Amino acid sequence: MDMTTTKISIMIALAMVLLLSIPLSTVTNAQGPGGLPDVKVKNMTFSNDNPDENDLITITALVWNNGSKNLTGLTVTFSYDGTNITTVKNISVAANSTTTVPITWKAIKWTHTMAAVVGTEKAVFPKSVMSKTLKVNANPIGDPWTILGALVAVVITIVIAVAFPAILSSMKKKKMK
Amino acid sequence: MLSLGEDIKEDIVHTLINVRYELRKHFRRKRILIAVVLALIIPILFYIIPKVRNVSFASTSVAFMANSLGFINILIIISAAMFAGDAVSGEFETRTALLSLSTPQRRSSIFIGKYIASLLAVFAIIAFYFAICGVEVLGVYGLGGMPEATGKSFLLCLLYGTAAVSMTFFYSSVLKGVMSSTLLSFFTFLMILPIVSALLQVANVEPWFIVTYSAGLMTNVFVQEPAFSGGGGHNMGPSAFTQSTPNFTVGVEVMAAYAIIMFIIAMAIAVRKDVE
Repeated sequence: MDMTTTKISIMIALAMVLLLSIPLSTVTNAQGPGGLPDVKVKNMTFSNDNPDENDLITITALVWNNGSKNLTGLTVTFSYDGTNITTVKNISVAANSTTTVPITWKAIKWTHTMAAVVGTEKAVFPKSVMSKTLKVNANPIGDPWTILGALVAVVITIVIAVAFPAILSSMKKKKMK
Repeated sequence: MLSLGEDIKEDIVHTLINVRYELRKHFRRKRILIAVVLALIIPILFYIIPKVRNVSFASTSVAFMANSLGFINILIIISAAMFAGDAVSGEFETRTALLSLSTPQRRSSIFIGKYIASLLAVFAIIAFYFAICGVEVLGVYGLGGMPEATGKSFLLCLLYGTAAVSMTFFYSSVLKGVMSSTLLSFFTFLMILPIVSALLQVANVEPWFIVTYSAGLMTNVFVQEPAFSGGGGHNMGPSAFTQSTPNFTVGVEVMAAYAIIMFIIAMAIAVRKDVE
């Protein structure tokens, strides 16, 4: 292998390293295993752990920077059952500290896997994800008064049906007179 | 000559006599007994089978009640066909309708009497079924275990029962044979309407106007979480379930509309039907 080939190989390697670092360019001072920042969602809390359908609840993600350098330009993406709720952008977390990221969500009935994941605008850090199960109580369906009203309507129809022939006959008699 | 008030009073008395007579007929022909046995066996199986197989009962009383009531739809259809299938067609098939010509009663009084008797019989069977389920819930989950939606479900069953009886009376008035009217009523509720409903749903059309679709409310009021929901990742459960659930108010209106319209049409036909 001559010198030219070696130089080209080094340049290609450098170019590849540069290319790989582009998605994380907005995050300053990347660190941690695999070159990814050592940041994750340490905890996720709900303003109401037993919400009813359509309740507005606050979901708060506690983002933890375990590295020794400050991180900026982070995003936190919230989702339920894999469906995105929202992504909060431009989050900064100081070294060895935490920050809270709250969002408001209108609760949808049934049990969901709620998740929050840290990332940048171009990629997420899969290992930073935190998920929890949240059960949203479905609102009771209907009220008994509507059904009672319908049953009363049927009863009234029957009562009218009983009286109707007599009324009709009386009207006919009056006409004949 | 009777005044209007006296005329109406007489019609009411005639109707009540017919109700009593029809109920006696249902007892005599052991129809009520058969329906009661069915109403007893179906919910008891939901209690006995887990016990025999040593399987635990549903985790909540709501789930238990919703499971137990899963077959009340069929019981209502059977009861309606049994009590109302021959109400009008039977009189014409056996020519007993000829006797009505010589009685001072109006045909409408006879028809309404038969209708009320059928309704009462179906209501009694529904009430009995709910009573058995209620006793089971109390036995398994204790005094506080009775689901809140039980009352709503009971009222919906009564309304659906009314719609089923009206529809059966309609067939009984239109058709001449007892067998054809009873079978057509049975198959309409058990096969024809559910198939139409399923086909419409395949075509992404909500079959809100089909009474058997609205009947889903009888158990949907228990708002049970679908068994296939939950877990991680995308789950198709909740959204699929919500899309195929009838709207409460629309469902109640549809059941009431079937009950009232079919009753009026059936009565109009029965009163004018010729005795050959």
